[in-house]
This record gives sequence, C-alpha cells and structure tokens, in this order.
Amino acid sequence: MSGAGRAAEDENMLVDEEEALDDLLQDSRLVVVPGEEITRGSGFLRGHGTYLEAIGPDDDDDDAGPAVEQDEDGSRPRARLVASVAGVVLRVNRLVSVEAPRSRYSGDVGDVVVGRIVEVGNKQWKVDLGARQLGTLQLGSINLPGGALRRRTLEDQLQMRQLFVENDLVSAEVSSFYQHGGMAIHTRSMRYGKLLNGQLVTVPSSLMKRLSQHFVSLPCGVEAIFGLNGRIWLTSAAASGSKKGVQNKSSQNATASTSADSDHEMDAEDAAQQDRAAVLERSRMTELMEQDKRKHAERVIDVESRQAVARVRNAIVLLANNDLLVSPQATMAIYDLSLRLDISPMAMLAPDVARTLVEQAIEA
Amino acid sequence: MEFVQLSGLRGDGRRGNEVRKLGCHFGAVVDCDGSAMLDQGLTKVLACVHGPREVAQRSARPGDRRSLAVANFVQDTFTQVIQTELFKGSQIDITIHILQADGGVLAACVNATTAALIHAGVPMVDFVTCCNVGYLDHTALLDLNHVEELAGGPELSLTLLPKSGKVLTMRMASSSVRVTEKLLQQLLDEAQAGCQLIHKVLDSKVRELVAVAVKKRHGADPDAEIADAPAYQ
Repeated sequence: MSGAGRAAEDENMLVDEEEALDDLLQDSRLVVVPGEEITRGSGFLRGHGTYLEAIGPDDDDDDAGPAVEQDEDGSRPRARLVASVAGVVLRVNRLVSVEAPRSRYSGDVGDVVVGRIVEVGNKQWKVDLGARQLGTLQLGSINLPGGALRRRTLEDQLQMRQLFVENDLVSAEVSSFYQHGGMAIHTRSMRYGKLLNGQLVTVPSSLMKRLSQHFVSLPCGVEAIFGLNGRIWLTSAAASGSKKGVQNKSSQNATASTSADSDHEMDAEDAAQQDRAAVLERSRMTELMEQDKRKHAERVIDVESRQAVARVRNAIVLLANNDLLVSPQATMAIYDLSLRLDISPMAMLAPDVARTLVEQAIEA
Repeated sequence: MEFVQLSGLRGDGRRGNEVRKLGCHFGAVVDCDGSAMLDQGLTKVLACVHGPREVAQRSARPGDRRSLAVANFVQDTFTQVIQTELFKGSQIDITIHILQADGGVLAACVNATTAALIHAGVPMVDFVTCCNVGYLDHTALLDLNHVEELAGGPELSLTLLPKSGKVLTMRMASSSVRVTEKLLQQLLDEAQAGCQLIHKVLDSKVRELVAVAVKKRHGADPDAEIADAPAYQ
C-alpha cells in the first residue's frame, strides 16, 4: 500500500470513529462509571476524567501484539479510552472528557474566586480556595494601599499583616498555575481585595456556572460576588452609592485623555503635565474607592437590609441542597417566590417549606 | 453448631453463594467532599472522603490493633487504584466509621470507601470491591456474618478490580482448619464471584446517583434522556 493510501485510510478510520462516538452521544447524556470503556478509537484525546489503557494481547477482538506496542502496520498504538470518574461524557472535537457531578474546584485562569487567608508567609499569602492545593497570593500581585505602583520593598514585606491576616476573606482572580496544580491569584484591580461586613455562603463548586459578570448587584439591594470556587460573598448594597459617582468620573476622564492623545500638535512638556495629572487623578480615585470600602466596613447595616441578605443566603443554600445550579437568576427566582408566599428568611429552610419553594421555582 | 442446614440454607436463609443485601446511600455527611453509608446485611459502615487537599499534618490513626489493620488494608488497596499521579502535593483523607459490625467489616469498609471516592469525584482506574468467603460444613460460604466468622474456619477477604478481574489485596485467617491448595483455589474463585456480585449492585447505585444529578442540573429538558445502559460493545 502506498503511503498516501494509508494516510487516507487512517483518515477514514478517524472519521468512522468520530461518527461512532457521535451516534453514541447523540441526544442522550451517556453516563459512565470508573473503569468503563468509552471508545476504542485512537483518534481521540484524553480529557479530564479519562485515561488511556493499552489493549492487551489477550483482548477479544484484538489480534495485534502485546500492550503499548504498535499495530502491525506500525502506524498507531492500540488503546482504549476509559472513564476514571462517574459522570457524563462530553466531547469537543477530538477531546473526550467525563464530567463528574461533584469534584473539587479545579480553576481556570481568569476565574473570579473568593478565598480565605490561612497563612502569612514569606512575600506571599496562602489562601484556601477549596481547591486541591492552597492558592498563593504573592505580595507583588496585590494593590498597595493608595494605589502606588512600585517595587515591593522589605518594608512592605514586614507590613504584610496590615493588609491581610489569617481568616481574612478576599476576592481575587486566578492568574496562573504552578507546576503541580497550585493556583496563583491576584487582586490587582479595585474590584478585588479584602471582603468586609457581609456574609459568605459556600456551595459545591460544581454548581457554579461561568457568568458574564461575577460581581452582581441583585435587584433586592444585595451585592453578590459569585466566586467560581463555590464561595459566594453577600453584602448590603446601600453603601455603594458614591461608587457610581467615581465610576462616572473615571469614564469622563478616560474620554478626556483619549481626545488629548489624538492631538498630535501637543508638545512634550504638555504631555508630561498630562501624565502627572493622570497619576494624581488615579491616586485620588483609588483614595476615594478605598474610603468607600472603609465606610462600608464600618457601617451598621439596618435590619431590613440584613434580612434581604439572609433571604438571598437561604435561597442559595436551598438551591445547593437540592443540587441545582446556583446563578443570580435562580437565586432571585427563589427569593421572589419566598417574598410572594410571605415566608420569613428564617422559615425558608424548614423541610416542607423548602420543598414547595424549590418545586414551584422549577415549574416557573 | 450447624452452619449449613440439610436444605442447603444458612442461618440467615442464604445459600452458600449468595451475598447479603447491599444498600448504599451517598451524601450522608455534608461537610466533606464525598461520603457513603453502606450496609451489607446488618453491618453498617460510613465512609467520608476529604480531598484531594493541601498536605497537612498526618491525621491520628486509630490506636487499637484491629482498627489499624483495617486502615492499613484500605490504604494499601486504594493507593493502587486512585490516580495519585494527578494530585502531586495533595493528600486524600479517608475516614471510616463502623456503625454496626455483623461480620465482613473489612469488606464493607472497602466497598464504602469505593462509593465515597466515586461520590467525591476522585479519579480511579476502576471500582474496587471486596468480599469475604469462609469454609464451614464442607461448603464455601460467601459474605460471612458474625456468627459464621466466630466459628473459626478459614476466612479469606479479597479486593478485586471487577472490570479487569485483577486481584489487588487479600487477607486470610484460619485458626482451626488447614487450607489445602485446592481449597484455597476454590475460596479465591468464590470470593471473586462475590466481588462481581457486589460490583453489580454498586455500579447500578452509582449510575442512579449520576443520572439523578444530571437530570436536576439540566432541568425538565425532554432531550435530556439518560442512557444508563451502554448501547455499544
């Protein structure tokens, strides 16, 4: 057989294999358990929850040589793709993976997460994110108070405890991964940082969906951070009124600076002055936002706002207890329903009330 | 004492090659990554899995000899099947509570751990099932209960990877009877058959667990039909 012929045949085989798997997965969610063979083709890539196993010589329909060795035409190793967790088979082109309904959080770069500081170390904090290892927050990956942009000095190292100490809650973003799967996170944005004066809800991370926006202002006056690691931070929104002013100002400033950029006639001295002004403006804004955060932290939240937070919290717990995906929409559906049925936040979790709430919310 | 009646039935009404009724309930404990309450007849065991998580101080092991033996057996078994190479720098803690002991405690511990690990979504090469077998009144008896264990005949506990038929670990004790090579072979075969029976039950319980979770996540989607029996091979 000519080389080209063999290649064409290989291609055909791949197409056949894909079709076979497509037939298998078509309009049915295929449930597999550990040790179960998913496919026998060699044209697939091993995704999460699967492993490749060489087909042994004593295998029924296999007449080729011993394990891992090549086929008699020497082209491809013979192997089968086997599930290693119980779950549903997913296929993206040639990548086959199995998604388990429950597992530890395994993050992705860019995920918004909420974690708890467990250790103040040498130039870094260790953060519990509910993942398989503690996350790392480097001293260089945080915003210094006042928004100063500079190298971290020994002085900063000695004052790390003034920023975060053990048991503090922080919101952050996953920035990269270390070799053995540990996560590095950063808080280099005014959105992230220490969380104060609110409530934390923890749900299985598998119930969290990726959203277009993880910082949500719920219509009931509660601000929520839906961390993808299954930690949700809730706080009353009332204090964030001045934040909007700051945001507006910043956008105005942005348009002003772009119009200045387009002006080519500008001389160098003017530009330098502009830069200085921008830096000043930025530090002033940072100052304002930090002030906001401090004010919010010290504020005594009134009973009604606290009840709203409690109601949202219990709505999320209800969803999680019933293995339902936790999203702002689903949370608000339960929230609104509980209001309509005139159920107090405290009563929401009583077994019979919970059942009716969930059933009616699913119907709606 | 007579363990096998003339009718071929044992004290609790089973035949020699029958295992006790197996029940498995997932998620009995909330504050862990995976848990399973398993009852095999009147033996009842609760297994919880924490992890994979950051390596911490080694947790305290039970002090008494019998518990330690069970712990070591479970550890030896599961380090072979969990894909530990995926979790460098992490540890997985398995906690087992024996709530009721009516024979076959070791087997129940292994089976409950398998269920809890699957519930936690820990990647394993295959299920692991364990079954014990004894030899009384010239008959091989599967899944001994407490009374039969006390008789002091040979007792063999064996863990098996049911899909490949590989034997992982086994333990044997015999205080009164000499076990010949032929008898040992018979016991090995019986125990493996018992493991397969247990696998069948656990397999269906796990599929049920996943199917329910999937149905809930995807709501009342009519296309979301669950294929529980593999339609290929």
